[in-house]
Amino acid sequence: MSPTAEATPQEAPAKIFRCAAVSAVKHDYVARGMISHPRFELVVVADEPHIPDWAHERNQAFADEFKVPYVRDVERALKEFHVDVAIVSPEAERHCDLSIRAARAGCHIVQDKPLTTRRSEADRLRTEMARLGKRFLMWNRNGLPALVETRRLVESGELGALRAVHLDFYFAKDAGAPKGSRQPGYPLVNWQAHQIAAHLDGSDGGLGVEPMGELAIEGIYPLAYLRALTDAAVTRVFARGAPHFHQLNADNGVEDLATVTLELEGGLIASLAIGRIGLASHPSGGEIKLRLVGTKGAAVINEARPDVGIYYRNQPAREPRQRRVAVENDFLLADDFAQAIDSGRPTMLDVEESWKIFRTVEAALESIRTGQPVALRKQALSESGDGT
Amino acid sequence: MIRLAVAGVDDATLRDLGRRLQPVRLVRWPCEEADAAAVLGPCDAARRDLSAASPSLRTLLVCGDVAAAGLPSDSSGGEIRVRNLDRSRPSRQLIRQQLDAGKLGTPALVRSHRWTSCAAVTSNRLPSGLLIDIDVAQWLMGSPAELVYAAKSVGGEAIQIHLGFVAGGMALLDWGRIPEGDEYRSLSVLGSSGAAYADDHANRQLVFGGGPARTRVADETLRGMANLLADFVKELDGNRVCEKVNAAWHDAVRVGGAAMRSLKTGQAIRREDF
Repeated sequence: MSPTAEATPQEAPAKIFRCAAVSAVKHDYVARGMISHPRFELVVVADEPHIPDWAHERNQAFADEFKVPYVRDVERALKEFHVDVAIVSPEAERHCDLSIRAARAGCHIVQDKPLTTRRSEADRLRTEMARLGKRFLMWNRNGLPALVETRRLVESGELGALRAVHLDFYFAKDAGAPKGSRQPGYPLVNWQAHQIAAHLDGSDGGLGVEPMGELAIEGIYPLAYLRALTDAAVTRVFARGAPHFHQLNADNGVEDLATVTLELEGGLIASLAIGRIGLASHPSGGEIKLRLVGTKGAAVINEARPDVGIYYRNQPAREPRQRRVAVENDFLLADDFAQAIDSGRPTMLDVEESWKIFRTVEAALESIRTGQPVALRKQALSESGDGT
Repeated sequence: MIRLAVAGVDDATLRDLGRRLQPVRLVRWPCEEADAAAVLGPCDAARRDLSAASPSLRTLLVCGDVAAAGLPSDSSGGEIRVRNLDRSRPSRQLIRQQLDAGKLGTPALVRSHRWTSCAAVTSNRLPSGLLIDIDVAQWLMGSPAELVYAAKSVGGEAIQIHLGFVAGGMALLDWGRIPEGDEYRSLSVLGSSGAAYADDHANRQLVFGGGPARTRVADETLRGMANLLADFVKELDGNRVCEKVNAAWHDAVRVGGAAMRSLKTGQAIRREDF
């Protein structure tokens, strides 16, 4: 492909960014989403040599599909293929390390969620991205039509000053057998083995060795909604969580349902209910809603709209009955990222905001453990360590 | 035949209720000949007159939102029964029936939203709607809350109460103040094997009359009142003792008190400290 896109009469030719999928073992939809934009081109798939065979096989299959090489050496691939953008989607434990290495190799970063499983890694990423000055985008859903409209509504001032934001984020999906189904004497469900198998239907968001609850895996999405609607920082968190639905979560001691009370600067409050609540609990993937209360008005927003109802004889149980339409999330995220690179401005969900969301989730998990609210103090970049 | 005096509703509602409850005779409060009385909504006159109620009035039914403002200390020896009208709403009854039938499994989360044009919260008292929602949450969860945390927005225009139950159960109750006009209600219950969603958002009809579309929601309050009064009449007929239901309301008030303490202290309050 040509290194530049066709110029419009009004604009200079826009640079085409050469992309590497730096591991595609989890959600290849991140890479697919980015390269669906005309300014991003996949040139190589890269990963580390020591990863297990199943991971190599996934990377190879992805490379074969797009007819690009698969290189088992991250730094060599980024250098030899002159990569501009690294799209990072390995197991959660490797997220930050691969992102940092790619940024050190001169790449801008698009990273899959969650940010990481460890605070030290989050701090290291924050420090290094700030030092290197590269753009960073955490994959998110803020480009969905309902979110774009909600943001416009808030920015228009029609609701007045926001006083409360309530977020429901339920994935009506199963995660293996229901809680209580394991017979006495049978072994505990292995987290990583389950996640590897769950790749088939894309529900392997928690891929990795370390078990993660739904709040840690998916919390970035609704909390990114909150970030999109207000600049106010979270100052205090109270949360409850438990495994209610799946044996996988019960066996691994991580929640599949959580509720969070958030208190923010300026007297704004928010709440979040999040869960992987089982396929039977909703006909179309899960109820995802935003409810906003402002000083002049309020709004109830269904994240899944607009949609079209599709029903037919012998319809598979897992097929959503309500199908989303006019979805441009991939394009809008990629477009925002391109513009951020062009201008040097932050992306719609940059490393600093992603780090704050990680800390909010971390505080919520601590609150679940202690049964008491947890205060979040502001932490300067210099307190996050030297990035080594 | 029972003669029931009713307060807190307008004449049209009283007539509508009367048609649904025949042969019970509904009359407007106050009425000297009434066997029992029901206060279904805010009614200053009824509140004033409660302590001077007719000696023949053997039982007084008071809806939760009325009781939230304080029960009279004296009802001339009659019995006061506090009921939560929300429990009688068709949507809430259906959800409870599904839970009782085991279709939803063990309740894990009750999530409710209630937006009204009532005054912002500035006093030491929770909005009555939140007490009602606390009672509904405990009723649907099937157990009392063990832990309470509450947060309030600046200006008191929004409050949320976060409840913890045994075995990891939880509830999040949101109250918000919106401009005068329609109110908004939403209740969802997630169980271990299913879920129920009762949301005004999904139950609204579109109306076009030039400019942006408006919406209308079919109100279930009348049917809820009829259900409540029908149950009350059954109780009176059977001389059933209803201490448990009264106790549930009083416990909701205790939880509400704990929520107020949580607002003041910024701490989660455990039941042993309610």
